[in-house]
Amino acid sequence: MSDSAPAPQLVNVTIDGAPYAFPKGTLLVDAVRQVGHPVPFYCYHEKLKPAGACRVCMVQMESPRGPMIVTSCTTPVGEGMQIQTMSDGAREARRQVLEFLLINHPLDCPVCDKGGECDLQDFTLRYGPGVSRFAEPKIHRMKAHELGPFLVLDQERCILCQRCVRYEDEVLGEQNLVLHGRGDGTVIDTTRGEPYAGHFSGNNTELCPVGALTSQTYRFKARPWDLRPTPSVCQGCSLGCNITVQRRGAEIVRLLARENAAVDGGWLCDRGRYGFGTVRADARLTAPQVRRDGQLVATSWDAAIDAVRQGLTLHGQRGIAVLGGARLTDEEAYLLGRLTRAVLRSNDLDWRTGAQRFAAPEAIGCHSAQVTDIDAADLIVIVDTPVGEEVPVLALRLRRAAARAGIVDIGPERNLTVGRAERVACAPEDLAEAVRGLTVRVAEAKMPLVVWNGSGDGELARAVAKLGAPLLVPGEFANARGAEAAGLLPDLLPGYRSMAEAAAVSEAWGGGPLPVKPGRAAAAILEAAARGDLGALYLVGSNPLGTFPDGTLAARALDTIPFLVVQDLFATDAAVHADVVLPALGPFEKTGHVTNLAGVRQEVQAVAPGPAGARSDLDIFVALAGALGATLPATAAAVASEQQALGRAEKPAMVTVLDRFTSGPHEIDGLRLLVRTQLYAGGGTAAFDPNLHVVRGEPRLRIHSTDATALGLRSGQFVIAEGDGASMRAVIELDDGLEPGYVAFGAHTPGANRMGQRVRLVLAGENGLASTVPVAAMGVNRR
Amino acid sequence: MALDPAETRAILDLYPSPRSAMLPLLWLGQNSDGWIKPETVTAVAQLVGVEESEVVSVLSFYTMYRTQPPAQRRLQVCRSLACAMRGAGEILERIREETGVGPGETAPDGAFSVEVVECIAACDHAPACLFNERMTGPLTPNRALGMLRGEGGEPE
Ligand code: SF4
Ligand code: SF4
Ligand code: FES
Ligand code: FES
Repeated sequence: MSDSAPAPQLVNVTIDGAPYAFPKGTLLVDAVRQVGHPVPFYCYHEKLKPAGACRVCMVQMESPRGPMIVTSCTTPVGEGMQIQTMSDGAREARRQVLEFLLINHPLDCPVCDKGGECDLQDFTLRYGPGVSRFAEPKIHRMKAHELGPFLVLDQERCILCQRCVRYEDEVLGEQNLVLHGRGDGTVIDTTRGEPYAGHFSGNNTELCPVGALTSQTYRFKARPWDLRPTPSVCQGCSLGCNITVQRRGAEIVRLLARENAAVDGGWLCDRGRYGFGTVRADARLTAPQVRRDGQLVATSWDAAIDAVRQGLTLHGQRGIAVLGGARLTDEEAYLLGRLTRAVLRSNDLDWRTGAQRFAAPEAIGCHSAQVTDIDAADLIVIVDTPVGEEVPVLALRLRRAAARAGIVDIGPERNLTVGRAERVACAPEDLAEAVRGLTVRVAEAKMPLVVWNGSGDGELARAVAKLGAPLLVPGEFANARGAEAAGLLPDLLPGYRSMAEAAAVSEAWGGGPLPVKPGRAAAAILEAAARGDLGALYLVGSNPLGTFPDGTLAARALDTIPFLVVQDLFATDAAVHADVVLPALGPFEKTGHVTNLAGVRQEVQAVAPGPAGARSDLDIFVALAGALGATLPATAAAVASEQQALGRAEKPAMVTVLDRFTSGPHEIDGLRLLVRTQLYAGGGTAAFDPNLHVVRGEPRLRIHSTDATALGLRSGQFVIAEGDGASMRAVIELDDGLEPGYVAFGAHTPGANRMGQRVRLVLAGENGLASTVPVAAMGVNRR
Repeated sequence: MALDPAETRAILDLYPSPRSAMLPLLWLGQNSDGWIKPETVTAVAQLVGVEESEVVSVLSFYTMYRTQPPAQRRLQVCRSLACAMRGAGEILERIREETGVGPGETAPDGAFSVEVVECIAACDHAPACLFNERMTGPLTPNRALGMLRGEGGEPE
């Protein structure tokens, strides 16, 4: 690297009489700021291309024809330039622009959410005139306009800097916001006045320099000087975007992006930005519950822990299994592993309660890629992973890469929804073949990169590993990588140790033999439970009924298991079956670490107390071990130092990815049913978050428009999908990103995984009940 | 029917970059339909290779494109300097008083519409206007009302 990067050429500039040198290409606006002579600016933003739209950044430049006023955001430094930032001419020019910007402004700062952190207030105070000479009536426009689910638009406060318009276009590659009209009639709006539809709207509220674009959730909540900031990390998905949590008193009022160039590039998706409503959701569990005479009744923690002890003692002979852990912190996951192995003496332990099979690329013999490798890659292969729904902010990086690199997008639907990509359409069972077909191209690429969410069988895992390219695994659980490294797997101990190293681990855990025979994976655990071959099941922040690909098996397992403990934030449909329910704390309520999809370990902070009756998973594990006569380290810090002392195996073992995993292709009326990750579809926390209620809506069944036409289905129509195992109501959404021959449900949509093998679509009548007319299936071929 | 294929081709051929053909293609649509229909916007976006939102943005910049079906009788009153000084504002005010239809509005029955436009290069006829796209002036309040009510006084 170092030999190829030439030292940047420097350019000499005089600013306010003092000489400076800047790298060639530096914009004057940056140059004057760097040397401490700030000029105001609105339209300029580091992450956007210069636009020269607002004219407020003007400085004076000497020229052969005398002094000139130029916009500093569009003028790069030039050799010998002489710049005055505070000359009378420059000051007067800026003063006039600021006066102009305010002539139609409503001056409603007292009721504006931006007040106190508004560049229009600040720059007018510093550089503008004190009074306006404009006595004419002001032009009125749309105010407090709800622009989609999260944004509020006030057109009167807008200064038309076009940051939002440019962000939409340059960063998102979408055009959700555009300029309409001209002159004093110019306004910002969506193209045809439709609701804002994108998934990254909230970034606009940080880009907008004034109070024109603000957040619904923050409306009339606080003034910035009342807010206390805490740095933390979003736990909405496995990317772990960095955030600043802002609280007023004890209440979290908003999340802001906190740029980490290696992770998020300074952006948040709306699920992450607005998904903090769980901390005050009415649906939170607030007290432990035990089953008495067939009913779950609230009880004390002591009684609940004792009920777990009794249940495990009574039924433990026939085996105890633990499922979950991929939503915990690293420390908690590690402690859960120690509790299961050393105290419950079981290896029937698995975090993989969804379709994702592994988390770290090394676990299947690949190299880990860094998120920023996307920016340098020349060939990116996306293997059947809906990145924008799974890990939204990562998709933004891929969209940007699409302008430069070759992107090959494999699978039954378009995974990269914005940006140029080469599509390789193929059925799920043909993915491995399609991946193998890319061997030569990947080998010839300078910097290839593979993106795969790790959902698939062993054959696909081997095909991906064989490509030999660095891999990113944007999976479905936020801390799957932490859970995997902590050894929440039937045959792996902490630090990717094989069972052969049980003695070393046992020593670190204070002696006592550990079970050495590898345990059973999630599917085998559920099968054993369904057969009646398991005594007790402990679900930790997991709900196989919603997430396990074979939901019918999960349902049979939970029906049959003699003793079920559910530890969760909410009364999930699994909790309904439980013998003991333990209310846990969730994101924003715990301190510890999480490991993102690229292996970056990041700290999360407790910023909300959570319901009074709930406890952190860590505290629950310690209490449970105590009741069973064992002592576990009782703080996150103590656990972290034990885990770090244990470290990683010298020769890390790999994760077993089973060859046959899901229960085979499902069919609907001759169409193949896919269950795909879908933003806001629900599952863990999103389903219960009041902030996200507005966007979740009805379950959707996506279908290609040609298939819909053949079946006589229209967009927005309600259908009932009737399977052998379950039936569910869904609204038809036409999506030509899906290949013809498929229909798709969102993963974690209740019922979607319980349809069974044969599914029929029935039109729902006006009242939402099934009419007797099944949808005709003629003329649609299976691929 | 909106965009005649031969004329579309001819317009596209005039410019080295297809994007430059956006305005004339919109004119073509407006001239054949009387206004620019949403499907014209979609078609033009495809023809010149930009997003629809960009066409909408451009379209809304120019006051002479219509995005609503036109009224039967359309009065466009100039409000630029010469005409403003010779009473364009008073004329618009009288029209509003007598008919309830203000600038930018259409009569509820769709019979006529009133718009304000910038200088139409007829300052020597100030206050000047376009009535159904034909220039006339100087305009008086009574003549404007007569034209709008279909009682005569239209330009030749
Ligand atoms: S809404 Fe905000 S960001 Fe967008 S143009 Fe107006 S002031 Fe600028
Ligand atoms: S991409 Fe994931 S980590 Fe980032 S803000 Fe969205 S949900 Fe949170
Ligand atoms: S910041 Fe330079 S013109 Fe807007
Ligand atoms: S000012 Fe009215 S026509 Fe020129």
